[in-house]
Amino acid sequence: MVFQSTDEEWILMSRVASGDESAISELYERFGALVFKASRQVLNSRAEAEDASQEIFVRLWKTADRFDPRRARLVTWVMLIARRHLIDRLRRKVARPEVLGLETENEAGFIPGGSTKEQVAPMEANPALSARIQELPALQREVIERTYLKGFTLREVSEQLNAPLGTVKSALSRGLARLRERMGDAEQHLA
Amino acid sequence: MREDEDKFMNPLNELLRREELIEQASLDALGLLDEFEAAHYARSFHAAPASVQEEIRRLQAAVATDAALLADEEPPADLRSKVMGSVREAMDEEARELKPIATIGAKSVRAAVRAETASELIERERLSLTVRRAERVVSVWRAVSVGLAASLVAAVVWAMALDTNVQMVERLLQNEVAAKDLESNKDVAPTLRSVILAQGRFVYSLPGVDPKAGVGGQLFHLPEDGGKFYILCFGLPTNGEYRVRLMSSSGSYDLGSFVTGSGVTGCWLASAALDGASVLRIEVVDRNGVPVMKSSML
Repeated sequence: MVFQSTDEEWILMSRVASGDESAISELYERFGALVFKASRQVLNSRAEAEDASQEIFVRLWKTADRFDPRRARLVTWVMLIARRHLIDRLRRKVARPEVLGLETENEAGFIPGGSTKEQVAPMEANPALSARIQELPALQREVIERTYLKGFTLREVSEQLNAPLGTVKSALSRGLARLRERMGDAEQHLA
Repeated sequence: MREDEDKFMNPLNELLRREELIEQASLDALGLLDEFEAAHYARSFHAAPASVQEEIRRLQAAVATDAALLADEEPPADLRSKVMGSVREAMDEEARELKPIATIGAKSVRAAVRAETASELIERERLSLTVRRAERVVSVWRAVSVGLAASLVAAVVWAMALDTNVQMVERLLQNEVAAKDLESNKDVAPTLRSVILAQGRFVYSLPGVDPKAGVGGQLFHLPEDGGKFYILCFGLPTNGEYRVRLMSSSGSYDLGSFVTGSGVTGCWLASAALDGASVLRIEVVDRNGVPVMKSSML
């Protein structure tokens, strides 16, 4: 017996994979703002975030046939692809640090390990997050800044901080959970 | 391993427990697991009960859209047109790069879709194969088509040749075990012959997801025979249970499951009237829902 599902997300991504422009437009309609906000969170300027958003949607088109609705919701998949792209981009920046001109003097380059000159993450895009990260315990703060905002792998952070990998993972997981809780509390308070 | 490398350091050959899965789900959603950890996580996820999987899907969606981790700036109004322009440009570039292959494939498919007789197709494909196959492959084809034109192997090779995936054809031609098994397989052979020679039948290639695994297959659709589907595959482990999913422009279909025999397996699946809808994708997945064969874009 044939079972016909209403798996709209799978259908949408298959249409995207086949190059259906209306499907790509629909994908942007649903996730364009999220992708831009995620990009802006970790990149230094709106222009960079716009470039990254365009590249992410090209990547989404190229990988659309790998989307598996049994594994994750579409929003998770889209944001995962976005995050991977942003991590690649951040790593490229670390590998090839920009030459700082007059206009970028306040956006100092990052040196892995943080020995001399720490990168100033583009927190101006989300000052509330910046404040909440500063309130976290030192290890959680370091791990979140280095992984989420700078694109280092957990293993790299483990080596940089000379901390066991399991501890780093645990700190990241707990730190992210705490950030979400605190943000939720703040929103409730404002309401 | 150091003692304080706690529960996160579950050896990669052991599946993660529910609590570990939940804890790592947010890291997975944010792309923060490395390649090996992500694969370990995925294996554990597929083995988890459906209720846990659903819990994780919900959690990951919440993490992915968590406002706490996103900038508080809206995109500019013209970003949509820039995005559409970039994707269009990437498509054009890919089309330019693939043009020679796509042209060959498109002609073959058009010829295959609505041919009147099997002999017409055999002749047409024999001619086109002579032109486009490597010398070694063509010599195999000639031997088959001249000496065994009416045999099952020839019919299968011919059916495979209709597909755009040249590598798939070559793999089958090289896979002597599969060809011999097919020829001598008393269960598969008679049915397959009738499927291949059915009027108006469609054939979809199903290459293995892992190109090195030696797995492949074909899905046949017989719209003029009640919309029946028939799958032929080789290279999968014996006694494995697999499920076939088809996605069309009008919806997705679960075509049912089958259990593999040794060598080549052929099996009738469910029927479906696609009513002119385009087939977009076909997947064969194992018991854990992991795809083992997947159609290239149709």
